[in-house]
Order: sequence, then C-alpha cells, then structure tokens
Amino acid sequence: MAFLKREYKAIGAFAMIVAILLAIGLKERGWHYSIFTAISYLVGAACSLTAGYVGLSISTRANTRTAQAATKGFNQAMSVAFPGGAVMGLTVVGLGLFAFSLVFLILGYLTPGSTVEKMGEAAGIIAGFSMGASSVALFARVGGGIYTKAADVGADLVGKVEAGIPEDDPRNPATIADNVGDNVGDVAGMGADLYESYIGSILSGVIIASLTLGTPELKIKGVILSFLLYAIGIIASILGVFFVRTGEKANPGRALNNGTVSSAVIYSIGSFVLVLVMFGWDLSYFFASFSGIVAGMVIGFTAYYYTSGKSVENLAKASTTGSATTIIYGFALSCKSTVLPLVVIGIAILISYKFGGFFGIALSAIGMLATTGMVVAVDAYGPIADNSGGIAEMAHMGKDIRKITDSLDAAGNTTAAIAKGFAIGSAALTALALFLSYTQVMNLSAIDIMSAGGYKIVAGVFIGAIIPYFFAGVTMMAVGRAAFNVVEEVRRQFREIKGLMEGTARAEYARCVDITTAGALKEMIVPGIAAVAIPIVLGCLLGPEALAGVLLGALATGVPLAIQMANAGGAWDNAKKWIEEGNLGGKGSDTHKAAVVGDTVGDPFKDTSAPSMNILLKLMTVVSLVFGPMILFIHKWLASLF
Amino acid sequence: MEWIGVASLTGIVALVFVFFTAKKVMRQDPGTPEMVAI
Repeated sequence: MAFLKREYKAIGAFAMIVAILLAIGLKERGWHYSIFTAISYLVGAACSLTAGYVGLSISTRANTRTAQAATKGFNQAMSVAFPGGAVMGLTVVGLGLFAFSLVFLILGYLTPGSTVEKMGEAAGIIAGFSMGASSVALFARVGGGIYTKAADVGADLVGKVEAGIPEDDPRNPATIADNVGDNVGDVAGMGADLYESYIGSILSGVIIASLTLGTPELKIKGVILSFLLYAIGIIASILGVFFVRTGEKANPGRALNNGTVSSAVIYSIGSFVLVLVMFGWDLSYFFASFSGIVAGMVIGFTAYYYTSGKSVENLAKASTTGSATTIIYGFALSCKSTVLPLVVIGIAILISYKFGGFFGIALSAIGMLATTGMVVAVDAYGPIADNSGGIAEMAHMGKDIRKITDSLDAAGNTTAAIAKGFAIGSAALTALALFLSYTQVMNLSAIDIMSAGGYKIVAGVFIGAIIPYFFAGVTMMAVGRAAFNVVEEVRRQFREIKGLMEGTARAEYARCVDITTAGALKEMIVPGIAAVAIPIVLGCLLGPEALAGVLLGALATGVPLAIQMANAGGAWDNAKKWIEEGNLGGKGSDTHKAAVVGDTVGDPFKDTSAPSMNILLKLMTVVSLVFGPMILFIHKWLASLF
Repeated sequence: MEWIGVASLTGIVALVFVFFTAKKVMRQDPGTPEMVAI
C-alpha cells in the first residue's frame, strides 16, 4: 500500500495538470464544454484510483487469509483466494458503469436540446472520463510494471543466483518488494488496464451510435444498447462467480475456467434477449457483439496454448543446447503466436462491420469486455494464490500447506496467461473503436492515401509504427536502471547485516520497498509524458489526417508487438518452471541455467513492456479524441504561418 | 435516458456484491501475527 500511496500522489499531481490543460485547451468549444470535460477527466481518474485501492487492499489481506485457510484444506483456501480476486473484478466494472452512466446522465440533463443533441454533446464531453481512466492506467501499468520487475530481478539476481537461497526466502531483503510487485502489477495494473478498455469501448459505442446511426430513434437505441449490454455483462459476471466451485480434489484451473465460460454464456443469452426485445428479429447487433466474445476467448486461449504444454516443453528442450538457442526458439515461438490473435481480430472486425457498420465494431469491443468483471477476478486471484505460497514459505507453515498453495498458484499462472492475452485483444479492439470515434468526431469520413494530402497519412503511418518500439525500449531500459538500485541494496544488506544469512537477524524489507518505489516513480515520468505529448505534438504539426495515420501505424505494430512480448515472456518463464519440476536435468543443470537466461530476458517483456503497450495504444487514441478540437485549431494556425 | 439510469443501478448492484464479498474475505482468520507482518 506504501507504493500505491506514493504512486497516487504522483498521479494526482499529473491529473490536475492535465485537467487544467483540458479546461484551457478546449475553451474554443465553450467554457461549458471544456470545464465539464476537465471534471469528467478527474472523475474517470478518481474512479480508476478508487477501484485500484479497494482491489489492492482486499487482495493484500486475502493473501495471508488464504495461507491460513490452507491449514483447514484446499477448498477453504480456494474460497478465500477467489473472492479476494472477485472484489477487484467487480469493483472495476461496478464503479466503472455506475460512474460513467451517472456522469453521462448529469451531462445530458445539463445540456439543452433534444435527446439526440443531449446525447451527442454528452458523448463528446465524457471522452474526458475515458482519458482520465487511461491516464491512471498508464501509470499503474508502466509504474507497476517497472516496480514489479525491478523487485523481481533484484530478489532473484542477488538472492537466488549470488547467495543461492530459494525463492520467497525470508533472508532475502527484496522478497517483500517482490511479493508487493505481484499485487501491484497483476491486481492494480491489470484492473486499471481493463477498466480503461471497459470505459473506452462503451465511450466509442456511445459516440459512434450518436454520430453514425441513421435516424434519431436508432441513435438513442444504439446508445441505450451500449449501456444495457454492459449491465447484462455485470449480472453475468456476478452469476459467474458462483460457478467457481471446487471440491477437495477438484482442479482449481477448471473451476476458474468454468466461471469465465459461464459468464460468457450467460452474457450471450442475455444480449440475445436484449437485442430481440429492442430490435425484433433483426439480430445484427447481437452477432456484432457476439463476435467480440468469441474473439476474446480465442485470443485468451491462444496465449495459453503458446505459454503451456507442448510449446513450453519444446522450448525447454531448446535450452539443452544453451541460452542462445533458448532465445532463438522463444523468439520464434512468440512470432508465431501473433498469427491467430491478429487473424481473429481481423475476422471480428469484418464480421462486426458486416452486421453493424462502425457501430458494430464498437459493439464487438463491448461484447469482448462485457464480462471484464470475471476476467479481472480470475486474474487477480493469481497473485493472491502466489503470495499465499510466499507467506506459507516465509512463516515456515509446512510442506502440506505449501502443496495446497502451490496448486492454487499453478492454476493462477494459467489463468494469468489467458487474461494477458484477453487484455491485449480487448485493447486492440477498443483502440480501433476509439480510432473510429476520432475519425467521426474530426469528420475524417474517408482516409484516402491517393488524395492530395495522402502523403501525410502515409508518413503518419510510418511514424506511428515506430512509437510502440520506442516505448518498449524506454520501459525495458527503465526496468534495468530501477533493478540496479535494488541489486545494490540487497548486496549491501547481505554484506552489512550480521546474522542475516544464518537467519538470526531480520532483513530491512521496507528499505527495498522504498528504493523500488522511488525508482519506479522516477522511471515512469518519461513514458507517461511521451504517451500524452506524442499525439498532440504530431497532430498539431502534421494535421488530423496524418494523426489518423500515426494512430493506425501504432495500432498495426503495437498489437503484434504486445502479443509477441507477452507470449515470449510467458513461454520462457514456464519453460524454466517445467525444468525446475525435475525435467531435463532439473534445477542447477546447464539446461536450467540456459532457461533462466530466457526467463530473465522475458520478465520485462511480459510484465512491463507488453502491458504498457495496451495502455499506450488506447491512451494515444483517446488523447487525440479529446484534444481533437485543439489539435485542429493549432494546426490551422501553424499552417497559416507558413 | 431512464434506461441509462438502470445501467447505473446495475453498477450499484455490483458494488453491493463487492461489499459483501469483501466482508466474507475479512471474516476469515488472518493467521498468526508473524504472517500478518509479512
């Protein structure tokens, strides 16, 4: 919680500056528009911060309670770990939908005119809410990602490699920072990431419905449909929680998958009935939404396929010939893992457009994200199970307890891979839906590269294509720098605290948490500012058409890059774990050493750069959407000078 | 606009569910003071 408090202070200061910029930058649209956009921005950010705080405070309390419940049996431990995750999942969607619809209603009542005019104006202003969610997500993901990996590398490099003590050993000064990092990354980070996608996709549904649908009646129905689909998704997620049940010998992974699949099935039935009631037997919008659910499932399970089973065993076999072949095979595997998700996203776009035009694409994103409550619940369960194992180890609770927490943790690793795939897939569809909203708001009805100004769009695509690579480079180097300080501190404690290695003295855990926190906060400044400034600067200099090219270019390279890095990291990690189970020579063998190299390379890939990419793509698009009027104004002014 | 209010209420239902789930977690035994300290 110490990390979260310091991170929140930094985000609070950043959010206030951006809110003032919004209020001033959008004043061309009138003070009513600019002030309310700034307020929406602050409310969106505050809700994301609140969801992160609630989720993290419960999950950190659930860790120790799960370890204690494991003394009574497996089922008791599971019945604490999963509800702990469910708190995060349902806070994200509950707070998200409640606050977003309330702000939308208030804005509607404050705006004069017909219902359609009210909705159109409110949709433009509430884009600020989505940008607030994106700002928090950026810091949660980038800052959290740097924190978690800096602590992990510090704990492993000095503790496991140099001192030769096991994982989660209480003698390791960085072990608490490492456990905190799991929560910061997978609970607060993933929650903020999917909260951002959740809000972004309903925003795009509302904007595209109110701008592109034909008649006023259809526009109103389209906006209402977007909200009610999410309402059904929340009910489906709550019901899905009750499907996560285990007996003493049950498989926890299967129980978690039961919950995910049940939520998707309940949502599908509910959305079918809703569309039937609203539009009669014209089920086009149902099929558009359904394409998103199917795409989300396929992308999630593709990530699982490439980071488990045969894929991982083959990667482990590549480690028998050294670290170079480990890296080559893992890289090749991750390249291949991008194919199916991208094809599925392409098919979802084609199907949803066929059934509902641009609005169909937004509905596809809404369909994918409707059961976010359950997805985040399952993902947040992972670090709770993992940390309960760490606590059991540190508190010397015995092998039987550790066996129970290990089996809970194994299920968490699998579901984490699925959730990461899902997060990237949903980010891609949300960013695309937000991009379409941007083109509609900016009146870019046709982006034609053969037109007179087409060269600007092509230039924009090339510039945009390199942004994800730049961002990946910046975040990975940040992990290296932050980890260096942790490594130095752990070495110092081993050197200076007498009796630490013998277990008679206590490590200064808080010092490591402090150093990691300070490092992560310092390192997230550059990527944070870059993600907001890049689209504004490029848009002002090159114009809104070129900015559309920039966003498309970033989307086209960012999505496969994120999938590749997440799956490469996951596969290297699991290959190492498979060897540690005693395969191919087990722990300490040359094969294991080669696998450890792969895992070390993959750590910042999967836990820092890949998750940050999700946020970058959405944030750049929503910044372009919100600052669109200002970008247009400044670009015209600059063009008049030359 | 009333239907958007219904969506907002569903959000509240989720938050009520969160409240009771969190209470259920917090009712559990947190373990020894050593475990809590970790």
